[in-house]
Amino acid sequence: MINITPETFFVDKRSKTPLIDQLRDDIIRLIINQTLLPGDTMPKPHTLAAYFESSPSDMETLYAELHQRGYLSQASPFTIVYEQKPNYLFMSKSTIATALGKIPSDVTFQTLATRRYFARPEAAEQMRFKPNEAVLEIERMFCVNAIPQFFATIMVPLSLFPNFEAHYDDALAIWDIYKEQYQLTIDNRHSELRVVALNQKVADVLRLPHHAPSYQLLAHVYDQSDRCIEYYEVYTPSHYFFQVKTDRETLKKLHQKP
Amino acid sequence: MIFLNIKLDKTKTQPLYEQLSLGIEEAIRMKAVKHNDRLPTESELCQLFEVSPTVVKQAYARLRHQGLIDTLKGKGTFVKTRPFLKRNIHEYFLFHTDPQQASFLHGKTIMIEKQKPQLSSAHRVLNLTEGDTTYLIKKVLFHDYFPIALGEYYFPVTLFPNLPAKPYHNIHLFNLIEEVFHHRVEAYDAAFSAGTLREDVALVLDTPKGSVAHTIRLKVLDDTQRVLAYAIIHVPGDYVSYEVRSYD
Repeated sequence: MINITPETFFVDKRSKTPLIDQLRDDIIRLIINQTLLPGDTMPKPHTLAAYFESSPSDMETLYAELHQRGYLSQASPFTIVYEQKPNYLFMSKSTIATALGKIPSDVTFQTLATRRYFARPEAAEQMRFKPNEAVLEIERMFCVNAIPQFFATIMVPLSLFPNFEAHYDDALAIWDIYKEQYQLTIDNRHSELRVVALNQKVADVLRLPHHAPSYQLLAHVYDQSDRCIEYYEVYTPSHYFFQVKTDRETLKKLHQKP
Repeated sequence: MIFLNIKLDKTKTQPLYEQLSLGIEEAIRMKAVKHNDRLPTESELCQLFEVSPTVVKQAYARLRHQGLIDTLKGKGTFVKTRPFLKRNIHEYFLFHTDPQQASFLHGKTIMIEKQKPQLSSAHRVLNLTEGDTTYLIKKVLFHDYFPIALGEYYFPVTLFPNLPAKPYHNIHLFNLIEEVFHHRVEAYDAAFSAGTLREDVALVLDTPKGSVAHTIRLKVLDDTQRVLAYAIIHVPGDYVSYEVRSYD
């Protein structure tokens, strides 16, 4: 817990970008970086305004915006409330709820749309499909206390899962449906982790600004006989981080002298 | 002129924009134009091939969709062929790599300084109090002469006395800490998050300012869970991704 001084922030007065925009970007960057931690107190808007020779009302607007985006507390003392959490992507609903200290009913999946489609070319390539294989495309959102957290597009081939919609239920994890209804077991998941700027559609769904940085996970899931049974894209914004722990043995192998 | 080989046949049924975009695609694939080369403007192409602006616009739109070119407002249209790298997550923890090794990766130190951290995440993670100093080493990792990662490594002076005098140049981070400074490394704890690049980092990594990036915060822990060293590694997101495999 520290009191942040205006000197912490950096703006370039000669730049064409408005001062307020630069300051907003810098504050958000420092928070996402974890240079500023939850509980730290921001300077008062008028202190910041005096230091950067800007108007206090502009600063108040900026603070209000930061509050709305979930970075700051609403009123004085302005403390940082934003917290990065580990990514719960591969966990079950109940595990996530326990990890977040919530009851399972707080954590929900919500289906935005389902449609029957021809597989998109890039997805078809990944799934080793014929070009116009029919798939069921499901757009799903993961919410905690009804606040959207992840957005996912899931594609399952209809040839393997006829009548998938009939079994589909928001309360279930899709992986349970494979197991229970179709007697398929998941053997492995193969995924690729990219970072992208959110497009308008996903940003709107997640209630984030357009172009906000986010992880995009592209994954395919294989069953026991090595068939691709699912392709999905998940967007997890910067509230979440992926944790990778490397133990001593792996490190030794990695750093062995040739 | 790079596009002299492209012939548009107006008697063919294949649309002109398709012929044009395929021609440019071929030129890019044959490496007649390279990454970051500027392509002619739309009006230049119109004059050159005697076609309407719509044809050129459609051709460029198609190439843009394929991810082969990128148009920056007020600057022009550029070729984008930097290969998309898919790497093992652990490779980014490498502090130093031998150029002789099979991988193309190699590291280069660009800066080392002694500093008193003001307010930084390093300061907080390393649990430093005011007046404590750290060494900061900035290292760039290259792949095939393209910069792909910038690491800012913080070493507290109390644990790493006299660091610049030691042979940190040709040694791995793990070996440096274990063999030169005799601290036992128990684990690396890394957090990967999505972020945007700071202006100075973007400059070093040769990517546009404010573009998306992987930010890796790496803690080197000893057996008492004390943080020995801390690093922030920036990896541009435009052309680097990680592979993750998991088995049930």
